[in-house]
Amino acid sequence: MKNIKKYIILILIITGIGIAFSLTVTFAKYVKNIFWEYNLKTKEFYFSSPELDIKSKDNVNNSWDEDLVYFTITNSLNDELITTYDIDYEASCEVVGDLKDYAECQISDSSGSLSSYQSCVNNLEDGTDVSDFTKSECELGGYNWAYQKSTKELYFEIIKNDPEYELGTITVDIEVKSTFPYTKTLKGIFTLYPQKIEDNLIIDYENYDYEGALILSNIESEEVCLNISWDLEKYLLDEKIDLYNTYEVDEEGYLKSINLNIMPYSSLEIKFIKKTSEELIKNDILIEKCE
Amino acid sequence: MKKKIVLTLGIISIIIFASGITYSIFNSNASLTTTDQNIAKFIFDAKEVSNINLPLQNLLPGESNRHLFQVSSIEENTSSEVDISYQIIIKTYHFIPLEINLYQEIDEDKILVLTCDETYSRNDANELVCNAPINRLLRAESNLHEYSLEILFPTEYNDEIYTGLVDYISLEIKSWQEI
Repeated sequence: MKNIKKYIILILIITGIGIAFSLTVTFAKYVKNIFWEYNLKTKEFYFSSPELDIKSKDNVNNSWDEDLVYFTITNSLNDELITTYDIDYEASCEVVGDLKDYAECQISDSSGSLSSYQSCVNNLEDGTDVSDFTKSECELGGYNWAYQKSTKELYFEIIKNDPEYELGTITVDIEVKSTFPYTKTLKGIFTLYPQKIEDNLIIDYENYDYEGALILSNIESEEVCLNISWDLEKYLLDEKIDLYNTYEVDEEGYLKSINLNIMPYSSLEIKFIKKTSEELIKNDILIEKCE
Repeated sequence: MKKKIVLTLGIISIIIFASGITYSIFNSNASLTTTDQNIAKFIFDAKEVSNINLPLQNLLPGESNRHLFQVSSIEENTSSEVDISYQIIIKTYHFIPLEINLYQEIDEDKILVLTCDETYSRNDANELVCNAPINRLLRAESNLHEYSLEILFPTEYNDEIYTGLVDYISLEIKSWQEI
């Protein structure tokens, strides 16, 4: 009986507290969340050069006539990837190697800017000349108003300390650094083999993807006889045996030297197949006059 | 014997009282009116004062952007009738080395609320989560807080590796009623 009374009192107390809470305090509350999201992107940067690279790029001129040496810098990688703002740059050059005390290098523009610009592109290919269109004319005509490649041709000049001194092979380091808004340093090494006229024979070299060409020009009125040999580790001769007076082969049967005549006032192109990716340069070919 | 007497008295009482009772019922209607019941209003709003979208799409080193926004407990001249707490949360991957500062602007003064940098921790989604301290909008006080989110692309990050990066910033404002 006592227990029943206890329970009844307990139930009454709990009920009383519950009623009191529900009439006075609430645990419900208002909440509200607001959310904004923004996308961020830094601009693309396509400062580049065919002759220069971040890791120094080698350039070889096998018949340098001691004149200006040109190279280009650009604000694009291709027709699609074009920088959309101006790029400021600084350029420098330096003679290195054995001849650094005998000559110095002067570059055309030690600083400058590659300006970005837009013009109208005839994407409709309807034959209309849109080059002078304004932006509104371009867009109203349904053409593309787009950023264009900006390219600058720079050059350097080798100044001999002694004008009478005959330069041999000279090596020049080129550095072009973009300074604003992004920094990027492009480097190149130019190896210049002076063009020599030996007994009125002009020797020149051309390089293609898989081939190199030795171009010999006889500018005299008499026939010239030459012995030519090359580094077999790097090149194989693209054979035209009927051109040669005589020839020698190695153990595997590959031509390793030839003897030939060049007619007066004529040129001869001898093609070599490259065994490596290296360029055909003067040091790899030995040219001697027949005895 | 007693039982019989009680039973007889009971039957007599029933007969006496039952005979005087009517089963008709009076019905009466009365219309009552009560005073209007008011529920406390909860008003919380946030508005962008400046447009942030375009400038952030083409960032260059040295450029900055200031984004103004307001949080308030007023809407069309109606104020919140409850106290409100709120917290601003900035989330970003921080792929772009931006300086992200949140200021509260009081009159002409700018009070730095937070600098969202790598001192904050990242969540499971690898987002850097920067929680501002909880602030309050009291019903009895000024109901408008002004903030500016300042985003700077420092000039020292001008190496080519910082070009073409993509990132995002989310700004979340959580508010709740103070109890």
